[in-house]
Amino acid sequence: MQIPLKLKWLGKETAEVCRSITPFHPLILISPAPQLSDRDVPENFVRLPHSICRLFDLNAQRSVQEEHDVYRSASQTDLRSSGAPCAFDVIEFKDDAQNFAALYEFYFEVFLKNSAVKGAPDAPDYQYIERFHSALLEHNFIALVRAFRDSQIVAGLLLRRPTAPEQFLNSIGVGKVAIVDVLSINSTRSTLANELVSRGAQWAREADYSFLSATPCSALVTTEHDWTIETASMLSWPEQPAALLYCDMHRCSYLSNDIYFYSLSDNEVALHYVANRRSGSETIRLLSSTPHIKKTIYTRHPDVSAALFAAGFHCEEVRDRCNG
Amino acid sequence: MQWLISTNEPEAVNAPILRHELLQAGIMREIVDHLPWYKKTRNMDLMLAKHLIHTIRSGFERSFVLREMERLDISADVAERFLNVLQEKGCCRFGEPRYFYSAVQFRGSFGKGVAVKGCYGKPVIISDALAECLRLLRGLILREQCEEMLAGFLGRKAYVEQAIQTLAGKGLLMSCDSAKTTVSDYGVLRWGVELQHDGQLLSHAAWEERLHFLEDSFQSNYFQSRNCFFEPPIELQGDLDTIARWGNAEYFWKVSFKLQSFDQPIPINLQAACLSAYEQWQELRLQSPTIFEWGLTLDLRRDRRGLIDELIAHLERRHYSYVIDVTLLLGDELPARLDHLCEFVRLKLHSTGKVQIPDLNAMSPALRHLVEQQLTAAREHEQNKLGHSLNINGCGDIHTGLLQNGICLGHISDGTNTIEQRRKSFRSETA
Repeated sequence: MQIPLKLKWLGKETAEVCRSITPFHPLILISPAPQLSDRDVPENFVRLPHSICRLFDLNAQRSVQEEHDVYRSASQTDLRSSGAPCAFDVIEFKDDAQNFAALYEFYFEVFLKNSAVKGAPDAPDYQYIERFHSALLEHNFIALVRAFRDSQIVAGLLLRRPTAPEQFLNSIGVGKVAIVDVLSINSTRSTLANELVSRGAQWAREADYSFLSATPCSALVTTEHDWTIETASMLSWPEQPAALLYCDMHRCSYLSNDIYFYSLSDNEVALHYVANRRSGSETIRLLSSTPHIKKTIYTRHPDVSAALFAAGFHCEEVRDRCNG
Repeated sequence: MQWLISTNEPEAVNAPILRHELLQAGIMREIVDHLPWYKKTRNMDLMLAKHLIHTIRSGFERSFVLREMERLDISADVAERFLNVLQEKGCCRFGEPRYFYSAVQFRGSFGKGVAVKGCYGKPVIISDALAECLRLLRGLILREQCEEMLAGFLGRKAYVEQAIQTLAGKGLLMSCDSAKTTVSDYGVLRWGVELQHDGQLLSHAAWEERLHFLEDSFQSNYFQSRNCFFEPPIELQGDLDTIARWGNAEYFWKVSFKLQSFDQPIPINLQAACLSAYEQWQELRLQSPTIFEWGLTLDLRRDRRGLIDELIAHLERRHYSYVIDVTLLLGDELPARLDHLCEFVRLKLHSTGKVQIPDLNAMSPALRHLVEQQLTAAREHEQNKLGHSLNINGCGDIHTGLLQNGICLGHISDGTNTIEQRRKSFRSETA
């Protein structure tokens, strides 16, 4: 589901344009927009960071037993969903012919095939191979985690270093950051994604990386859930032009997918979540992986509200604006 | 061991072998034609050239050059063949020059070794012993003298040969007949365009003249004609008071349309003698297209240190975005409160080379990093950067250098070929 309307900040006139079209669009994103003083932010708009990434602390304290259980439970789930276990390996990227060959094999056998079938709106635009060539030649890739089934490569996770514009990630503290650049799997409902990321996180931890980061993406998410791993996480945002969002919660609560966005107020990030889908397990997983920020959750489904309440999350009631 | 020597500039170190004329003639096809089918994409020659121009240069050892080519997924046989083609065309040869040359920056110790960066390469981590060898070999040293010095430190001749081979293989040790700076380069990398003339903003006719000149200049360049830029190719310059008084959103909208074909963000750098127009400028900035990246330049060469206090006062009010670029033109000393200023803005430091750098250990880590990267390093490579950045002032005259009062090379009406010839002569004279 695409964002219904996206505009660019053209000046103060943009606010006037937005006011006239809000009756027709429940979601309007103005991106990029400059950082505005409070008086210049259009009415009913929320300030968003231009893009956001989730950082997972790889050195967070976890018991060995817990770690073992994560892999075992994930594998069992995978058995149920796919009927066959997966084998994994990790190739650390060194500049030799063997590594290049492995990367191109992943590109042709996994990435191109999967993205042709379902696409990945937040993935890097490697559909055109020259962009992949360029990224390879810049030596930004760190490691490739591959999943095999019946000796065939079926999925992969590609890690890279922060680029120069992403160097803000270094400012968060001690340690190196590995970014998930490409996550390509051939199934939408498998837990293979989390399994791959867990393997990647384990490798990164052993290679002295302190944080694992999702690729910086739009602060507004309107598609399926992305992956999480079971460690404490924190959020970070780059110093780029911000974005503004108009979101009519009542009308958005009738959409088919969940919507969530990270708002920015007084340099603090908050998560706003509109829970529309009836299955709450992925919602709970995502909400649990962001323990350090303020969360506001909206839903019009009583069963979803009950499930979230049982998991320790309180939902706000969505009111029709016309009825107050 | 075999060391690369440029036929065109045999006396220079780090002279480019893949010269501009060679690239324009299509030399990269000698590699691309031998790559797998999926690598024969439209811009593969450009992508490879962008990386190879930094390593196929005089002074490097053959094994280093071949290894760097293999890091670009070019097979060993294709790499060897390419070097042979370059020799056959008379672009270069391999030999054993008289001197060893080393110019590295030491980046700090790690548990497993020392991080160093050669002037012309990427940072690498080497052992403590090799780092000590590099400390002994700074600058230009006769080959025999170098071997004696290393033998005194390492003890055995076999170790000396191994150390030289290892350092050469990492690109940290070069060999040349002199350390003369190369004159060859890849053209003007950045054009500064002044936004005002006689106290007014540039007219439409003046913009058309400049655009015509810039388009000609870019078209004649192998990289820029294909939208490959090593840094932002155009920077707009002006005076804060003039821009705040005469500038409006509509004017900058039109300018953005004129420049959008260059497909790059455009820095606008405003020189400020005082900051009374700061708020007005911020309003203009909010209404202008986001293609422009606004920044301020404060000239501190004539003791205007009160400017920093004034700027910090504006920033602390937090009425607008505080993430702007601020360039300081420094005089003899570093001004106070730079640590505080660093917290609000992206700071850049420029110096003509006379600034006295105080004790780095007394600075905050952020400021120390800035001073090391922008002042200390810049001093060592200033010579190499001469003529890479030209400015077009309000009258259409073209001057050299990032700072004002550079050498005048002519007028835009002289045409790009004439200006380029004069620029090359300027580089030859100052090399």
